[in-house]
Amino acid sequence: MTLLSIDFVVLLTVTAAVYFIFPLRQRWTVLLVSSAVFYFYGGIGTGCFMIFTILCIHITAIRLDWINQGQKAYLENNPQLSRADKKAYRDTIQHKKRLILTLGLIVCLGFLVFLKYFNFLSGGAFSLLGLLGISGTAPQIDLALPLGISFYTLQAAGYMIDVYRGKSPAEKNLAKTALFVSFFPQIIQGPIGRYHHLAPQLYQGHRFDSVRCKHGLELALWGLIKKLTFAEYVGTAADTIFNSYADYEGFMILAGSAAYGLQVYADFSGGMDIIRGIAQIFGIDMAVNFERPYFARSIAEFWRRWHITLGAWMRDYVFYPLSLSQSFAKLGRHTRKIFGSYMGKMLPTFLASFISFMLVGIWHGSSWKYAAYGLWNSTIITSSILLEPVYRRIEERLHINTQCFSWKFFQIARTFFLVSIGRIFSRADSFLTALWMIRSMFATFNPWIFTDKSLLQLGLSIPEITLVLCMLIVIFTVSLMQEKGIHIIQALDRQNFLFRWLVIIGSILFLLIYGAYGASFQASDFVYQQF
Amino acid sequence: MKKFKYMKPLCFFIILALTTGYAFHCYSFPKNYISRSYEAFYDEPKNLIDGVVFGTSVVANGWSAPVAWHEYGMPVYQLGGTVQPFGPLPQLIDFVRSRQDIKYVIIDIHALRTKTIKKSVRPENALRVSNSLHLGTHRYRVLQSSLDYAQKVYDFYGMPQNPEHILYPDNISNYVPFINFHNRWADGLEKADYISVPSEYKGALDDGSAFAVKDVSGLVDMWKVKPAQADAFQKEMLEECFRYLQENNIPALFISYPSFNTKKELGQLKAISQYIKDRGFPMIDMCSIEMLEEIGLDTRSDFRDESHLNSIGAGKATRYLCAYIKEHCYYKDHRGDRRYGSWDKAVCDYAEFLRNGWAVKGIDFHFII
Repeated sequence: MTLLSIDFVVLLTVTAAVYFIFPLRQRWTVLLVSSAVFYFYGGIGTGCFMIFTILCIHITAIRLDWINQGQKAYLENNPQLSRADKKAYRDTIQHKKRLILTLGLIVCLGFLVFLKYFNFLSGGAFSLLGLLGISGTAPQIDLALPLGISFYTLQAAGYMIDVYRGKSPAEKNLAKTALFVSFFPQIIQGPIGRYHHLAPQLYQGHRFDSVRCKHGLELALWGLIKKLTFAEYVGTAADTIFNSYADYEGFMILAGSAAYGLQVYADFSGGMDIIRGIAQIFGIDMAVNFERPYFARSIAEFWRRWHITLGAWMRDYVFYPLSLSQSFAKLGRHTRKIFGSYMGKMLPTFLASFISFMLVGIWHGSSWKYAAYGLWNSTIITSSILLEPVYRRIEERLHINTQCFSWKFFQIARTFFLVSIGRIFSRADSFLTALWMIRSMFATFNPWIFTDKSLLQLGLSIPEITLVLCMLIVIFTVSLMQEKGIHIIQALDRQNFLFRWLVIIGSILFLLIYGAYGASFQASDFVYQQF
Repeated sequence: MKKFKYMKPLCFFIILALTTGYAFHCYSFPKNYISRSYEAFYDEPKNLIDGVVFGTSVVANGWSAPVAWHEYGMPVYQLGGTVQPFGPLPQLIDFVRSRQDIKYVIIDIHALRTKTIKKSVRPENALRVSNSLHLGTHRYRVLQSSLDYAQKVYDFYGMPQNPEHILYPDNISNYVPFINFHNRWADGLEKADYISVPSEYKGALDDGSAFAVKDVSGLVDMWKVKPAQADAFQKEMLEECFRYLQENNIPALFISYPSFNTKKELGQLKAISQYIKDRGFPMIDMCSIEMLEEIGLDTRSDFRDESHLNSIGAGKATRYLCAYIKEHCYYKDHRGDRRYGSWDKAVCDYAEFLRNGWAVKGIDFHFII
């Protein structure tokens, strides 16, 4: 079942109706049942992996929580213990906890690694063996990837780590844990929720609130508009270039990459708006995943605005633990001796950043192109940090006003350009294709494509191009207003009801008429659903 | 105040329903002569029409309602259309009977050719009639019947090779054509898509094809073909039709308009004609040289193409059929009745239409009306 199917609309309607009829304290069970229906609608098969994941994290979290409680009680009941005894006790407990967490993570992440990366890893390993003169056929598995595995695995792993750190208590009720992992609107493409934020909202019954419901539906409507009246059309242009990349060069490749970037943004952020809107109907406030990323003035800022929950997950569960770990501290001491204070201090951080971004890249899929995508981003971020003093000097020497609009605009355009190059890695068929396209992009100077109507021959008719441009203006205007701190839905609420109705009914009609759905369109899923 | 609490949302949903309903109407099946015929049929005052002609495009091209009215005073409406499926005929007759107290129906059998049967269950053909009907039980019944018919065709003849030609019964767009046709915005909608433009000539064809001429004199030898064998499906469909007509006591005249198809198809038509005659139903097979002479059709000037008559041929064929109905079925001359004013107007308008159309080709329209 997908978010854009009639079946989903029916499920959502029934769930909402039943949810608000059920006793307040039992309402979470409605969400659980609906999540199960949503997930197992297409068959039980791959759902088993999610059930195992739920069981695994539940047992791990309970065990960790029990140890946490035991540790707390022991220390409270034995105030006479010396500091050294307490430390020794804590170390023992910590060791035990770490062992349990590691086991939990191996099982939980093991499913993801096995199902998503086995073929990739085995292929890579056998290629390496081939280089060493050992020939053989790499074993391959042919299993369908469970729906949303990349998202729910991270969410589940995050929960275990939070319990391990004592940040969140473990949920005693297995069914509630299952709901936390499988909440139906978010399971396909996130956002990756945190237990302390999401779980209490899921378990607590929410009363029907017409205003909240209305706002949720408005948000979902906006998401649908972005997905169906922009992402789908601009995606056609991107597909035209990427599917026949050999026929294009220079600015056309840049245009294709920019089109893909816009497609992914409208598609993913549209999906997030739908999910957040739906959750809002049930009184659940999901984490924000996008904050106008194309207004970012650097790649680092871009990643703070793009897929925020994934970035935050990597920051909290990979980057910080790595950069604050003892081995990295030891590495820092070593590098300081070799490269001096500044570089020596930064190098372990860069390494942690490289690893984090590499994981972000590989999380998208089991291919070298995704590894390169992560590497590209981390390289840009690292080099921008390294070159920061140089930039500062240039700005001072050339008396560049960094506070004016033109400079900010330049930074935004520069970031968009760099992001677009990175997009080539994630969209191209393979790593080598991406390299070929980037080379072709820089090797050819063909500005005439902007005037010889080449851009009109990307699989879109003139009315469709007009629609895309209109939608681009609309999305940009809305984003700009949001960037200025205007909350569009609340601003709309303050208008006279006739204007409000005009906007809402107009938007619904706009979506129904101009949306890319029905027989003449290949009903495409959300881009991030495949990850 | 509390009872007005729900007024605003209610008003909102009413306005939303009305606007989306209108959008659904506009961005629907592309309007054509079939939808215009049905639209005009809805406008007909109740219980004034004596008969209705059903069939494929041969009927749409071959029945000239203004001629029937002008010369015989017979209010006989044309509800045929391109590759119209034979299966939902009983439901269509039911629909007609819900509005008009018809005395007879005229049914062309071209829809029962194997090739047409298969073609008629393609989504664009099978749904054309149901999409031309207003929302309601008749539309639903015709649609269901079309879907059932498609299933029967697939069961008997096999599924189409091209997936685009398959009519999937579960497809929600069967019921809400907007889902498939909303993208017509890119092609540009015309006035007829926004405002219904009913047929002005009681279903008689009103486009340029009425004036097309093709010399088919070289093809008449095809009609010497021997009857083939009607297959089980064709017989079953006919039996269902017979059963319906007998149960509802509806007199029917089966016809086969003159057309030059492949020998195989002509053989099938002959076999079906024979089967109908054998079952005791009146049948006029116009696909013979003798009938051509009896009707007065000229193969050099009265055909639009190999399969269809033009407006001259339609006038002649209609005259012949009217004479037959008058003699063998039911006849009442309604001319002079005030209630049939729209039929008189249709004759005047049609005459004007023909005058202008044929004048371009230097032909005197009085030959037709």
